[in-house]
Amino acid sequence: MTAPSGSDPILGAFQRVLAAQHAAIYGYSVIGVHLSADPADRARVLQAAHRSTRDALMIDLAGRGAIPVEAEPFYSPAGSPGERITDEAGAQRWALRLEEDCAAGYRFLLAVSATASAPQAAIRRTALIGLIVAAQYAMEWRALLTPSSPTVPFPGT
Amino acid sequence: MTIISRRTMLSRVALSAAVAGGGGLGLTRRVHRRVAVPPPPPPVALTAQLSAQQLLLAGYDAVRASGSSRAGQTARLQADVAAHADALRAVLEQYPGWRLTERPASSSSAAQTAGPSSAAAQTPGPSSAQTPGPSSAHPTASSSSTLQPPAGPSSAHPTASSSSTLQPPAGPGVPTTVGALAAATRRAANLAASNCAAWPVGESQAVRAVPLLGSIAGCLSTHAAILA
Repeated sequence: MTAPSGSDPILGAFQRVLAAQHAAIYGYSVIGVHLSADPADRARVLQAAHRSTRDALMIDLAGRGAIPVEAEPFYSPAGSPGERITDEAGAQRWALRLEEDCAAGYRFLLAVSATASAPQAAIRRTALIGLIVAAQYAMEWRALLTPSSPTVPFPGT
Repeated sequence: MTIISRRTMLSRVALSAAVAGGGGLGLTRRVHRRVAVPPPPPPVALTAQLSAQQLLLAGYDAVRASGSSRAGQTARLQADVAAHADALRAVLEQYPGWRLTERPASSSSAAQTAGPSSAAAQTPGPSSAQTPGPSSAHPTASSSSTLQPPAGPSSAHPTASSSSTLQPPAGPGVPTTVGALAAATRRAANLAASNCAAWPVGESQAVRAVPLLGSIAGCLSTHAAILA
């Protein structure tokens, strides 16, 4: 999954966030099948949230004159074709990675917004909120996988 | 009557002429001296965030000392907060004003007494036109937030006490219960978020500080959810 690079770094960073949202929407469809009742419900909620975010990002990008990056036809848990989810823990790990990818995308957008040629207050707020939300989603999955250490000090890194 | 040689007389004349010429130049020309100007203080957004982190570290120590049943859980969160403080110090190290004022209070009384207004006036900050949000003028550290030795339980924490010279921010004191710690964590998260959003575009350390403050805000928001 690579974000298209353009001349505008802000647009490139937005596209990276959008690509992460596409992956999350796809991933949760697969993940949900392997989860027990409560986590599966949560996966559905998170998938809906990512879908809503994706739609908003696509509208934003189109409004900026960019062509939103399209979803890939297939995403695999480890990023390589052939990987399969076989159990609940594997599904949770993929969910965690999807949220970490989203957090990384938003953190990158934050960094780009700090060096933009013009003030990008709205973009920075979008990135900040996205990073905080992704950190919380990731924490939920990490709490299932490693209950003793559900947090990381620097989400998005 | 003393007899001197012609060579001696000429050398004395030359010496006298040189002294007279030097004196004349000294009287007629200004001597330009380099005046030591203290470097600008670091952004208050960073020092205030570091103070907030140190308050949290002190709170974790206090909660653990009180024998809380959640000591094991809070130890992990405290490690995150200590990592935040270390990362903030790493960015602050990029500001010469921070390196100057970071020395222990006992050995830097001159720096402590430097007036905040004059220091702020000398701070070359990004123009307000570049700054998003209401806090357009990037604030710099004031005397109230620098160079005070750590007080209370925070000094017991190795990370906070090793190189800390900041005073916890004004407001509620060191949290001593898990509930108070959750509230303090929420405040620190909000502080990081607002400083992240208001950081001036193009500031010298913006590319490091903005993502760092964003990550700290994200991490502390998860802490608050766990502690609540």
